[in-house]
Amino acid sequence: MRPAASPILLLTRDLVKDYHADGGLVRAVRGVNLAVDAGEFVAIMGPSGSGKSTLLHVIGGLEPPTSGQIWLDGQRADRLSPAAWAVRRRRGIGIVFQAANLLSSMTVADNVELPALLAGATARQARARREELLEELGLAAKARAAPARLSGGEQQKVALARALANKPSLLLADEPTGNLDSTSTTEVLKLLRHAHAEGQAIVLVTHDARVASHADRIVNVFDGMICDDAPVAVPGARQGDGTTPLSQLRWS
Amino acid sequence: MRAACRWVAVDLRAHGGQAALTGVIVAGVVAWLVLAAMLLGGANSPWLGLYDRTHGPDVVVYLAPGTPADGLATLSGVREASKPVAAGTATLEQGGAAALEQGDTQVELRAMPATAPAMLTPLVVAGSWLSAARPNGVVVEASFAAAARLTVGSVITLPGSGHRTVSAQVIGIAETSGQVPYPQWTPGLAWVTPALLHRVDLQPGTAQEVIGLRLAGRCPVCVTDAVDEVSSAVQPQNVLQSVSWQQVSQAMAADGWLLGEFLGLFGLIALAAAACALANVTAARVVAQRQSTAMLKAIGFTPGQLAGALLGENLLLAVVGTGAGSTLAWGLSRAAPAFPYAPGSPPVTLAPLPAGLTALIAVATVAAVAIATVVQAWRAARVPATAAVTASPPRGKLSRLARVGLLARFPAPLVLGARDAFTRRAQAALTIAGVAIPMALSTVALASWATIDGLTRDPGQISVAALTAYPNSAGSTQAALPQLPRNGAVQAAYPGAAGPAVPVPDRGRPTLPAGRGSGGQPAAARRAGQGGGRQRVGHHQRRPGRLPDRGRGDRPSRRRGRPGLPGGRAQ
Repeated sequence: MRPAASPILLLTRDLVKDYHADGGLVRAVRGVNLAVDAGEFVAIMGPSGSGKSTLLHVIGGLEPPTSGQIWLDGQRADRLSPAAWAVRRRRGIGIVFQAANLLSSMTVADNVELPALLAGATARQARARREELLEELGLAAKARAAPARLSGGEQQKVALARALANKPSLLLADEPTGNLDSTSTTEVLKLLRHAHAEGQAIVLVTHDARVASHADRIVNVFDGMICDDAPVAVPGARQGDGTTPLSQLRWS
Repeated sequence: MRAACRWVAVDLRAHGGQAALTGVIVAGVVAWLVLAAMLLGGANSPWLGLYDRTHGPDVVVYLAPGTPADGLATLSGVREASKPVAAGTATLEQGGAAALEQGDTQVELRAMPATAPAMLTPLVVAGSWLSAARPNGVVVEASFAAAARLTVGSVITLPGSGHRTVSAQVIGIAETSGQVPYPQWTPGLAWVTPALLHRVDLQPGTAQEVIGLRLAGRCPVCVTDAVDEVSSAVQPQNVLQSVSWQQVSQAMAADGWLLGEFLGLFGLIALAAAACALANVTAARVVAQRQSTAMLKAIGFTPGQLAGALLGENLLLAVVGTGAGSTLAWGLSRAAPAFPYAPGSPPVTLAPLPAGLTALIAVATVAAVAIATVVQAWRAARVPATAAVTASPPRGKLSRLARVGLLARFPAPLVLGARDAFTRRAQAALTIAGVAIPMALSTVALASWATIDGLTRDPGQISVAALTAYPNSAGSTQAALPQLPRNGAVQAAYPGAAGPAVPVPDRGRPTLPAGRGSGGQPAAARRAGQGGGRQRVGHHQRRPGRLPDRGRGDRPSRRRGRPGLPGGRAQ
C-alpha cells in the first residue's frame, strides 16, 4: 500500500545506459525518469530485452549509468564509486536475482548472516537476525545445510532473507519467481508482501502479470523507455486472495 | 572486517585442498631456502655447524699430565670447562699407516668414556660412538680417517706394552670442532676407551691432558686472556699447547663455497618458481570464484575489502606455511646434520642460521606470496557485480589452427582442450613457467652437481694439479722434475712458482698466488691424445701448512710438518 505523502526514496532523471556489444552500440536504457516513494511497491514489466533488468542493475549501482542522474534518499548516487555503491548497498539496498546466487561454499546460516556482519552487526546480532528470518521462512531447520541441498524455492527464499537481513529501505528484485513453480512463487510473493507491509520499498522486475499485480504500481518498459506508468487498481478491486484481476491491469 | 573474516574462514574450509596446496608450496620453499642457507653456511664454515651441534669448546688447552685442573671453570672469562681427557700419541703399525705419508704414522689417542661428556664430544657421522661392550673400539676423526683410508670396520694395530701389539677396530667416524683437521694438524686424532689407552704404549713424552673451555666472549682477545688465565692458574710450564676456535674455523674453511653459491642461487630460483605456482593457484581460485566474488560485491563488499580478504587469506597461508617450513627445516637439520654432497667427499655439516637470516627468508617468502597474490586480488576486486547474474564463458575465439584441427578430424575434445588450455594466456604462461622453472632448476642443479663432482674426482680437467710437490730449498723445480717417477702414476708434471701468502679479506684466510707451467710447457687443460686423461696419483692431498696464529706462538708447536717445506696453501 502506498503511504500518503511519502518522501521520494529513488529518483532517476534521463537515465541512459549504453553497451558496446558485437562491435556495435546497444542502448539498453534510454532516458528513464522514475520516482519510487519510500514504502512503495513498484513492478517493472516488459518484454525480454526491453532493458528492465539493466535498469534495475543501474539503480542498484551494479553497473554505472552512461548518463543521467540517480538520487537515493535525496542524495546524488550516479557519481558514486564502486566502493561507495557497495557501502550504500550494505545498509540501504537489498538485491534478489532470478537465480538465487547463494554462496555455495557457505551454509544457509552464513549466507544470511554475511550481510549483517558486513553492515557492522556483531556475530550475536547477526545470528539473532538470521534466526528470525529463517524462522519466518520456515527454514530454521536447514540453517546448517549447504545451499545445494535446498530446492529452488527454498534457495530463493534464502536469497530473499539475505537481501532483507539489514532491513533495507529499498529492495530490488530481478524476476525472483522466474524459475519457480507456483507454490514457491506464492511463498516468495508472500514474503515480498510482508516486507512491503513493514514499509520497505520494492522494485520488482517481472514478466508475470500475476506477480506484478501485487504491486502498487506497474511501470512498463519497452526498448529501454518507460511507455506506461500507472497504479495497479483501486484497492477495493482486489480479489479475495489479494491479487488483482488481469482485466483490471492497464496495458499501453 | 567480521564479514571478511567469516568469508575467509568459510573459503579456507570449503577449499581445503587448494589451501593445503598453497601451504605446502610455501612450506617447501621455506624449508628449501633455510636448508640451502644452512648448507651454504656449512660449506663456507663447517666449523660453525660442528660447534653448534657438538657444544664445542672455544679453546682447547693441552696440559702436562697430572696438572691440577680443578677450578678452571671459575676463572675470569671462562664460562664452562670440560673434565680433563687423557691423551697421548702412538704409532700406527698397521691399518691406515700405508695410506699416510711416509714418516707420518702417528695418531693421537684420547681416552673418552662410553657416555660422552657434554663438551669435547665429536659428532659421529658414521658408525657409532665408543661403548663398554666394545673395549677395543676406536672412533677416528673424519679427516684423518679419509687420509688414512680408514672406514668403519677397519682394523688398526697399535704398539702395546712388552713388545706386544694392540688391535683395535674402527667402530665410528666422527667430526670435531675442537681440533684442526688432518693433515693441517698432525698427528691425526682418534678416540678410544680409557682401558684401551692404558694398554697402548704411547710415545715417550706425548702423554697429556686435554681440556675444553667455553668462554664468556669469543673475541680473539678473550681467547688469549682466557689462556693466560689458565697459564696463571696451572703454571705456564704445564700448558703445552692451546688451540682456539678461530684456528679451527680458519683451517676448516673449505672450498665448498661454490656449492654454497649454487645452493643460494637455486633457492632464489625456487622462490620465483613458487611465486609462479602460487600465482597460478590463486588465479585459478579467482576464476573459479568469479560468480561468488560478484555476489559478494552485490551484497556490499567493496573492491578493497575483497582484495584485502583474498590477500589476507593467502598471507595467512603463507605465514602458516613459513612456520611449517621453518620447523621442517629445523627438524631435518637435526635429523641429518651432515649432507654428503658428492660421493667420496666429506659431508657438509649444516650450520645454524642466525635468527636475522631466518627472519629474512620468512619475510622474503611471505613477500613473494604477497606479490604473487596482489595481482590476482586486484583482478578479483575488478570483477563486475553483474557477473553474479551474467555468467559468461571465458573469452577466446576458436583460432584458425583449432578450426583446421577440427577440419582435419582431430578429436574434438583434444582440439577444444588445447584451445581451453590457452584461452587464459596469463594462466597458461604461469602454468608453463611453474613447470619449466623447476625443471630447468633441476637440470642445472644436477649438471652443476656432476661438474663439481667431476672436478673433485679429476682436477686435471681444469688444469688443477692432483698433487703439488714442493722441492726443498736446496733444489729447483727444473732440477726436481727428472727425478719424478715415470711409472704411469704421474702422467704429467709442470714446473711452477709460488709467492708469499696474501690475505684476502672476503675469504678470511691466506691465499697463495701461484703459477704453474712454463712457456714451453704450459699447464693447460688436458691435451689431445692423452687418452683417458691423467691418472690420479693418490687422493687429493693437502700439504701441511702453517696454522694461523694460535695465540701462543712463543710455545713450541706439536706439528710435524715435513722439514724444509715452505708454508703454503694446500692444493
